[in-house]
Amino acid sequence: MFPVTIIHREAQKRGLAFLVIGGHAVNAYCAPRSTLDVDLLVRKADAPLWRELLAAEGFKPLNEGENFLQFSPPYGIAFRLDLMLVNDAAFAALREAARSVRCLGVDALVPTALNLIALKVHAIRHGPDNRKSKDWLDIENLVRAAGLDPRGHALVDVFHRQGTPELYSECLKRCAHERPT
Amino acid sequence: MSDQPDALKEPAATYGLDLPVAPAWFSDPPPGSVDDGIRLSLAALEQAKGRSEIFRERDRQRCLAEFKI
Repeated sequence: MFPVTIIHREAQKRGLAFLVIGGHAVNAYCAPRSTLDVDLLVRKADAPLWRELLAAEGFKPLNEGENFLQFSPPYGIAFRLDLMLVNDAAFAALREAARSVRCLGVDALVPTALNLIALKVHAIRHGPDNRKSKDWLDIENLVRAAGLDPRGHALVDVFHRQGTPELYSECLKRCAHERPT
Repeated sequence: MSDQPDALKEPAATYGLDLPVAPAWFSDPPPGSVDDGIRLSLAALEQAKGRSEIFRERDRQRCLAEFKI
């Protein structure tokens, strides 16, 4: 098994909080899809402490940027470990609404379906084109699984904050048939 | 595109890097859980050929912009 239990235990010892995001979080709401990563959302301010923790546990750094750190595990499943770095305000907002889910052997916090959609909309807006179809499928699935109204205020607000009017129109094309209006 | 929801929902290549997903995965999704997702992921990893190229491709798909509330 991927050593999330060790990450969880050591993070608790050091007072480091994280949320599970990405495919494993989507699977907490939807019919499962496969993923080759373990994606955690952490505070950017904690990045040095996460580097230290993971190095101490044998994780090898692979890539890093201003807003992410990527590691390979020392043993177990060959998933990559991706840490998405966000500022304190974003982390607090997502954590406050998060739910606890048994995931990868630990009781982990997972963002709400709406906040996972917000992360996906952000990635569609700012990420490369070659990931968009997958992110849209996750959005469609999350909208349906969470019973969200594509024309409802909550989803409109997410696209207003993280997306564009064009992306919201695309969302309606993809999701509006899920619920009668 | 809105008048072709089925085609739009199940583009064949979308999960090309995340096999296997059943053909009717979206229109007829199986009941699932995080654990089922992990099992599916392990199966995908097991079947993945050219794993290093798959990971390189995934790295190229990364969104580098900062997420803000």
